[in-house]
Amino acid sequence: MAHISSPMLTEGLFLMEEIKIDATKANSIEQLVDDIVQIYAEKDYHPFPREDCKKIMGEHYEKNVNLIPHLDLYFSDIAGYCSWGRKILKWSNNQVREAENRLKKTFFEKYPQYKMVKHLITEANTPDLYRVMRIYETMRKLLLRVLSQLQA
Amino acid sequence: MRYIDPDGHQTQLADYLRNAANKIQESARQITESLTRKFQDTLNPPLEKEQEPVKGPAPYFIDKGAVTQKTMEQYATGAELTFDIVSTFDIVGVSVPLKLYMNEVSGRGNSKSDYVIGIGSLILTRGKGSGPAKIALNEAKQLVGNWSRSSTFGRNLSNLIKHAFDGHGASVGAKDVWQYLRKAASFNKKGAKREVFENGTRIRYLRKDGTYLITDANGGFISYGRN
Repeated sequence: MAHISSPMLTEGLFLMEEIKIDATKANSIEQLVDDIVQIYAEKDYHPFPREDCKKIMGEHYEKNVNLIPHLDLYFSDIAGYCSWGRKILKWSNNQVREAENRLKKTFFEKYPQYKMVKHLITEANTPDLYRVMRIYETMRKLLLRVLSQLQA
Repeated sequence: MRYIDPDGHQTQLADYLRNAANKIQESARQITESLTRKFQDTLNPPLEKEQEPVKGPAPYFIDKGAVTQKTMEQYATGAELTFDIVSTFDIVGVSVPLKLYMNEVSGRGNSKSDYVIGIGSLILTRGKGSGPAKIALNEAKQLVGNWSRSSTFGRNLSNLIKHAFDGHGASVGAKDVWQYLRKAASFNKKGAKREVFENGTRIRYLRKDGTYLITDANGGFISYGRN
């Protein structure tokens, strides 16, 4: 176990720190999946960041009224794929493609209406939301790597 | 002035009255004791015979219901529980059909969270005999059956429900998984704002009180929470 280097994670929205999962040094696709499962287990320790969401919804509540449900669904989709564990490796091509389509976009690419609050999500301003998004973003990236290897 | 009993009957009468008074007093005491005992029994019912501690090496049949219930309550509030505990204290044989049902539903074997859901259902409805447990299982099936089999969790409903409950159970005031499922099932879509997204594969209902329900295209629940 080492780390995923930050450049891999910064291509999304956040300047994320290094995370203690050595995906880059994973010897096999199985090990990569095991890393995903490990992060998936870790997410249970972080409750849904409702208060931070409310904070950034702020005065633009009407425009952001769906932020929590959309974020909820986004997290749920990623967590769902992670919950398969090594059974992912037995997926059909259709399942792989469908998952890839669902995972290829970041939250703000999927829901561009929230780009206006993107800059408010920082470690200092919304620590819980930042931390949870970081975990899910890591899982999403790792899943995409697994899926691309399955297709190769 | 001094009275002299001319025929000696006065003494007999006095004795008679004294005896009668004693008998009345004794009867009154017995009645009072009886009433007091009944009153106390009403306030503090005596232990039933089967609840008394029994000496012996295998008190398996004694109060495993109570033990199980306590264990289940702890588990439903988030404590760890293993399958061994469930099967050991399976008082009405529910764990087997429950396991079979969850296997059928998930198609991918069981996890501990399967039993969170099952056990949570048993806490509130389990009663004496096998009838109520059967009803509870049916109700559990119905509530679990509301959830989507086409989410990214696949057919593993227990993982889907666990994820949703962990994230949003507290926000909707659910104390355990069972309560969460019931609240989700009673979500009233009438009057709720409806939004279709992700190419029609997801529908979100939002009520004025801030609660929302996300479903798949077929109406299977994916999440239930509060804004």
